[in-house]
Amino acid sequence: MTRSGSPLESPVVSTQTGKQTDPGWEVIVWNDPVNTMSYVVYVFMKVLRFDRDRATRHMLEVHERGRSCVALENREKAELYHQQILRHGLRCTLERVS
Amino acid sequence: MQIHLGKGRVILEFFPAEAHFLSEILGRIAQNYEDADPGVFNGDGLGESGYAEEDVESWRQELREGGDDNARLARRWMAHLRVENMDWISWEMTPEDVGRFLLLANDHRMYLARHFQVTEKDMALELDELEGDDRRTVLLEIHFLAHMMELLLPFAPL
Repeated sequence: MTRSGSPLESPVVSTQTGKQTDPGWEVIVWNDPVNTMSYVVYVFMKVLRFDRDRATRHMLEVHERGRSCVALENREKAELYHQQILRHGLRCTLERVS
Repeated sequence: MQIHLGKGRVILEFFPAEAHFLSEILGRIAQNYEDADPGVFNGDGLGESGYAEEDVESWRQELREGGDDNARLARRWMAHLRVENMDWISWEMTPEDVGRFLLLANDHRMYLARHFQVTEKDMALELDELEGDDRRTVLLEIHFLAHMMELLLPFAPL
């Protein structure tokens, strides 16, 4: 498995993550046995505003590698994505960039 | 089950047995939201993570209200699926209903999977390969809702 910060496709990156005080938070989506591929693509398009191709690439990364970093943001924005993705039933966590 | 668009609405058509089964599932979805253990909304750990008490309370309240809304919605949808000696049952959904239905249906699939510890292997089995009627019923619900979601996703608002 590749490190979460090196996904197939670059995650959403906030312009504010360059601040020295906050290196940013990664929004990680994890594989699960129940969610369908097309539903995961739909959630990425709806919540993260990905186009279909990009959403599909991240969905496949989740499916094949077990996880995908879908966004790198400041804490507030990352928490918002995290909550919205959880609300849609996907397994999702936040990881602080070290 | 068939699906088509008409006058800006998504129209689902069911055979009576399908409508009856979906109505039963919606009843269980509503019941699950109504019976949700308040303990799941306890917010433990949020204070230590720097959340203000009023934000935690607001989050709890939002979750409770969201669950109540979902239960009411599921019960309202059941009324569309009454089987009254018809050859088929038609249910017209607004695009907003489609989005809400996807959320509720997926919530229920995830609840069933967690509660009955459904694995990837279970998901790949044919129903008659599963042991026990309860487990077969659970997997049938999961797959039935997945099939509905696949039909509805092209019409879901982004």
